[in-house]
Amino acid sequence: MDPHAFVSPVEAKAIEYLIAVAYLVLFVPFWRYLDGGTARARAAVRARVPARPPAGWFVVPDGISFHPGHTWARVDGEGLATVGADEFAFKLVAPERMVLPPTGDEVRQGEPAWLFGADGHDVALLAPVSGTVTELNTEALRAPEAAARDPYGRGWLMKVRAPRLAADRKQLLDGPVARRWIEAVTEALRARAGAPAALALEDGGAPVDGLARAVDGPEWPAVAREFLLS
Amino acid sequence: MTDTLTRARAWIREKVLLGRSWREYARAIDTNGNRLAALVVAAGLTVIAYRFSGGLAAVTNLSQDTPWGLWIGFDMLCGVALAAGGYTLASAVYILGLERYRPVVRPAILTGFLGYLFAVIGLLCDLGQPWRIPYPIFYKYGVTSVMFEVGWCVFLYLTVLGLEFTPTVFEWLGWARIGRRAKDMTLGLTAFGVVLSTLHQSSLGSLFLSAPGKVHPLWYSPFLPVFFFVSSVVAGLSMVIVESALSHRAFQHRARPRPAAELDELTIGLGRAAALLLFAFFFLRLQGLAEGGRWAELATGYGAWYLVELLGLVLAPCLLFARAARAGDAGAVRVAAALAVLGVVVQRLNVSIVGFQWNVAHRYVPSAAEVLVSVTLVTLGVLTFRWIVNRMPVLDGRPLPAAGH
Repeated sequence: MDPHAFVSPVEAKAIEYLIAVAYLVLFVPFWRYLDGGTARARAAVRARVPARPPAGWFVVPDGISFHPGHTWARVDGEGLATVGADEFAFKLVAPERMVLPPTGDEVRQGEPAWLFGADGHDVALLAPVSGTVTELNTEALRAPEAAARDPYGRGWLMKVRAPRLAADRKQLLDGPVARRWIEAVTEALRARAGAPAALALEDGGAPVDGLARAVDGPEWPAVAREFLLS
Repeated sequence: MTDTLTRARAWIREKVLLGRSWREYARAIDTNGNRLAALVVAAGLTVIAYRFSGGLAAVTNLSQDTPWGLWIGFDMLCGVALAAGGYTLASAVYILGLERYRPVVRPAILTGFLGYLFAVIGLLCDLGQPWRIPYPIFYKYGVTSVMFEVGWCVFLYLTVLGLEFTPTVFEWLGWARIGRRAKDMTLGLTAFGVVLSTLHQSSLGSLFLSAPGKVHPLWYSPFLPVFFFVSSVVAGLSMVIVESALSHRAFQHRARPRPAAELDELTIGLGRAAALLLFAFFFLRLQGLAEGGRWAELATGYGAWYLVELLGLVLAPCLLFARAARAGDAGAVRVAAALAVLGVVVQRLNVSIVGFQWNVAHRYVPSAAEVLVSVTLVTLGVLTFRWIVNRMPVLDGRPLPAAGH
């Protein structure tokens, strides 16, 4: 058979009209099906991502620049920075101990710099800036729970001589951008399957210590590493 | 002099090396993924060099019967279709005023620009006399050829996409004033881009109208230009859905922090549009089948493959898009988008390779070298996208400061 042989135009046109009519007839229910779901779809999306966390869950102070791995840096002077872990990281892990690099060690932005340990597991946190460790907060090392109560003040962890501080800070988040970021991260944690109802409450209560354990039980180190990007 | 040199070094360190020294940068990019990519690119560039020294016959299975192979079927036809997100999203936001899709416009334009750029590079490999590529533009126009229109449109549209992307580059360079001037051109460029895309996306289908006896009757249709245009919009929307999901994951540190729900809502909106388009596209394809009247061909092996394409990669993603958009399931919309992208690739390959010269004695099968070159171009496209996104404000869409600030 010659595949390009003459085709009866009457037959072909009849079928084409039938297809056109079928399209128009089916388009109406198809559109109604699709459009009927608009409100439902929006509700479904919003239901999966819980409402915004109560204001003040996590504080984002001015003058602090955040690394997406939940560590922070504050400029103390030319080429000198104080660094620490943010409130979210402390709440997520609730560290029982902290292992910091000794003074004189080099840390690199975005690479594991120190450890938070709890329940016999360690999770690494990423350095917010690159440089040489010049001083450690021994008080915070001795009492991590006290550091957790004031993570941007007395809970600082290290002083770092950072030769490329200006360039490093361009990779960090601060101000309104940091606030939106911490909101998004909090929502992501609350939206996780298995997040207990307590986390989704909007009663304005403070989040529990050891959020990762509350969300995923024994698998908490994996959850913590996911959020701490380590 | 020393001062200029120091400033240049500081500039390179900050803008290109992301604040690192050359040594630190080299250490940072030394990953397994990058090593594999380097291997692919090195092998691919070697093949390309060999193609230019030894000619097309040295590396391809092309012949007088099938002068168009994988580099046209995949690099050009699929590359250009998958790059259609640029004009689709730009027209949605800048012309139709659908502001909520603004966060995905810049990555869509970048994807479009790179898609066209690498399609043209693929074309250079394919042309027997690549140095003649400027001929239709500057020297011998060949106005009677469909290629004249395609050549001009791709040339102009690549320029338009480049200009549309310049505000992002100027923001990166910190040239606020010229950046604002570039932004002022956006609406005009978008309108021009839509006109050019409509012309050449359909013209890629028109190319095959000049070879009716060579295309399998199931895929040959006088509606081919319409099929190519409509499917390019489907491909553009679907690529934006897939690419935004991947970018959101891969470039989390570069993206403006945004709740997951925002991206999900955008995805579902795009999925709804894709469902409607695919619904129309399915019936258009049926019209093409009716026009040819070759229903009996459906009972052959080619027919089975045609049905896989039509039902599995057009109708199925259409219904999945509709169901997922209605249920608010962004994950399922992404699956449907991946299926739709695959559908457009298969459709283009069916017209240009599987169903092209289907009845000649020696069927064309691309050589391993041809496949390697195509994989190399895709790899280079992804690496370029990553390089740009890691440096320029593509994902966070920071606005330029207003005049007077």
